Amino acid sequence: MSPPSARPGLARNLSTDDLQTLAAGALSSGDTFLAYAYGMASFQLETDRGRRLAAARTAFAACLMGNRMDEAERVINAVTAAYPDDRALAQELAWESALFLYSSGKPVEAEFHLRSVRDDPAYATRAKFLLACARLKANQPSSSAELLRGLEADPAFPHREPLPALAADIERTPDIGHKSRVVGVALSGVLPGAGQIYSGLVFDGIQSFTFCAGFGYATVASWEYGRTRDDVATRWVLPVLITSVFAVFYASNIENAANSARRANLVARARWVDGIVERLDGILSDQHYFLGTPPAKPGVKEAQ
Amino acid sequence: MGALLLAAGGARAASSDWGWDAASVTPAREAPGSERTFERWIRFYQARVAPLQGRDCPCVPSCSRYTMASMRKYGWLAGFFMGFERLFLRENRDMVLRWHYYTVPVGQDRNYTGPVGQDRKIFDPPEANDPFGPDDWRLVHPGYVAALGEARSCPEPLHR
Repeated sequence: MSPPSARPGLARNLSTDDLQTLAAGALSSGDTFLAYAYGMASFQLETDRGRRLAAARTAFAACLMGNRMDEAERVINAVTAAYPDDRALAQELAWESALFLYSSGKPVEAEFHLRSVRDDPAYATRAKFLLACARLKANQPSSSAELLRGLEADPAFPHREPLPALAADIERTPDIGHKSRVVGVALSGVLPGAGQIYSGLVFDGIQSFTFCAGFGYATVASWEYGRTRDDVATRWVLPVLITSVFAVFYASNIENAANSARRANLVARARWVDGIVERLDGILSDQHYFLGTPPAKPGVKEAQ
Repeated sequence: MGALLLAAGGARAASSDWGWDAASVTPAREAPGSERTFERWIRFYQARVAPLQGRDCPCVPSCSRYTMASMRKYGWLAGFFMGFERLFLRENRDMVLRWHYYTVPVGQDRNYTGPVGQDRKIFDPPEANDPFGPDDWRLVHPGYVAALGEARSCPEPLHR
């Protein structure tokens, strides 16, 4: 068997064209690592500026598809280092990174990328809106509302109409959920299960009450019965064991009451934020404004 | 590019055993001293007893993982109470009704919106049940696992 290099047709060097073709093929087949590797190799070896940037774009797209933000950052750095005078592409990539990170549920990382574009006039308004969204998802409602209020009077932002209501709702976020842990604990301390019912967890309350009442009764009965007996096991060991079990259930009931109140508040708040995020995502779905894609032509129906 | 961005948003990387998908894995924290005894019991339960049971735990993380994670994070006594509380006082109809919990899809059917069952489980991490924990709504929301990152005590994947 002859070695591969001796086969006819294979004795030719790979060109940067081949690398770009391989990168595009790998990207379309979902092999993001190969697309990134070929794309960056082409970027490093190619001499034509336009083709270099196209290769960098392919590598960057592969990073986003593969959710590899460290490598995406490396692409941006490589482009910035190669063309320090031309910040446009690096800014565009940083903006796309921020959008991607936000939509991937990483608002803090998105904010990091937004820092480099928010002072650029081409991105300032969009960046401010995305920053407001990211701050809301990072549990900073007052900062988020403040940013939206700043956008209300900005004529460059095309979706100003819903902003006042959104900002007002975001400001209300910390007030959503009003169950008190102290009240829950106090109620469950007096009557096991009452604190859970106060927080809206009826079955938790019934379960707590049943266990505590059952073992409470067993505790009293075991001590009463023990008094009538002389052997140590019945007089002391059994009552102490049953009392211990009762104590564990009672303490868990108290802890559960505190948890229930806190969790009820947190879930109510999370659902409230979900509603706001949905409305913000509705604005973010304007791809023409946020991603620069051409607007849909009027009268042309989208493909089903 | 725009369409690609939107298509890729929130998507997970295709799994592969080479290239960059051979991702680094967060090493499990070594539990010190007395916690190891409890962990050994829980691991025994997971390996020998749990497979004999008829149904899966309806929660993510499962009760044994939840207890182990709670013990690691809050100490063995608090962790024991947290696990006990979930097992005996919270696994009931309130969980199934889902008014006070978020759910996560398990398996492939990510768009399933029906009741809790084989395809959907209750999201209930230890941090959501720490009575002295911060008032951060993201702790109860499965959509913010990536945002909270290592602040969580259960680094295992949600979708198993």
